[in-house]
Amino acid sequence: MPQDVVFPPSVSSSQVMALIKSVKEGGGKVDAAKLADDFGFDLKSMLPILDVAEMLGLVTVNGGDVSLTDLGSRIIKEGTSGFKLLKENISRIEPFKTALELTKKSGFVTSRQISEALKQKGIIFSDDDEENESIVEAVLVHWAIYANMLKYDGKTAVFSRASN
Amino acid sequence: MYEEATQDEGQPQEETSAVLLTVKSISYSVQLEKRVLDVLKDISFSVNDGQFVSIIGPSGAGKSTLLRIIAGLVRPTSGHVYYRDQEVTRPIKNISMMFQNYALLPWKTALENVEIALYSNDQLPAKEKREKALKALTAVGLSGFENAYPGELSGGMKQRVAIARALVLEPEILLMDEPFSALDPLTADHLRNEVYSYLINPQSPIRSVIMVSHNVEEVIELSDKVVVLSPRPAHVVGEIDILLNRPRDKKSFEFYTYVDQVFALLT
Repeated sequence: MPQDVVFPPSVSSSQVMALIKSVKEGGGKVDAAKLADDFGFDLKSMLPILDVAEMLGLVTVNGGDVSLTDLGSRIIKEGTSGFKLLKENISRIEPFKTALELTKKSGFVTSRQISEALKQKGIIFSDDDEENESIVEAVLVHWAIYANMLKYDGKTAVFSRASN
Repeated sequence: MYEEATQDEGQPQEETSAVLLTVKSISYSVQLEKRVLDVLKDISFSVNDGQFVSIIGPSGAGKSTLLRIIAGLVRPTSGHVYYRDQEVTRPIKNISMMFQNYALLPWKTALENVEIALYSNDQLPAKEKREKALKALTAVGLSGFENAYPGELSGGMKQRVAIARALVLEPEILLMDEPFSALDPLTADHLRNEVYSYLINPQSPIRSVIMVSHNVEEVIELSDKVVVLSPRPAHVVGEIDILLNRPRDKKSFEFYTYVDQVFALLT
């Protein structure tokens, strides 16, 4: 059974946008270590951002070189409003995959229900249940709304499916 | 909350066609227990219509105090601030300020945090307040995040809510106090250009921006003019017009020539 692809929770959309813009400014192909150095990051801190950009299909990473893809170029052109182009790629990654499955089944779900379902699959971001739940919530709020995948109501702390 | 500015005849009339804001001979001192501490000394500069002006200086130089004086939140010991032909002596509706920590209310949603800026406008029906707030959130790319609370948003998103709150007041001048200092370098790098495009565009009510920063590259990247302050008591040691096309290439020789000029004035 193939292992689930899990999204690194600490990465923000602004960080990914800055990274792909920097690759473009570098001519479309840049050394990963140099990229980290340009932003005053160590490579270890830069890796999760690179992972997300690669998971979403915005860059490819080969032998330490980061190359911009066509999708990455389109996202740079359209900004965060272009993130809806990532809907299909994001929906294959956890915790988005589980959140989509649950909203399809029940209509409305809380981050607790989503984090419990993820736990059943062995996907845990923190040993502390409350923290785990808030990490799941943050990742979904930060990415799934931009991708026009989910809607979120902070007053009820409930996610639902976004209309197409 | 806001009041109309008072008329004053002392403002230089010959500059009013292009000048949106004039800071004239501003000094500010604080009375301590046994002595007087001079914070700002005889500071003058102007901001033209359409200009993005940055104020840079060492930490503790009084940059934020100067911004608060411009906003009408702090009275100078001497000197004047003019918005067009009116002296600013208290907060006015055409000058809006964005604070360093964004000052969002954690118990209010993103939409409510924007709406709160219109709270004191009794003439605007609640429905219109909501529509304006929604429009401002959409303008900063936060459509869909209306019902999220600040604690659920990333640093960059919080900053955009703060910008939306400033935009909804439709000010002509936006004052920003170290707007990128709380963000990591990658997020700040992305948001600098994005923020510029939110603020300076034909759809935006904002005509000019005054930003306080201690980051030299940041001010060169964003500004049309940089006002460089000395250590305390701060006075203007130089003004530099940045004549670079946008978007600016931070790795270019011309960019670094400006960086060197600012550093030379700061040191």
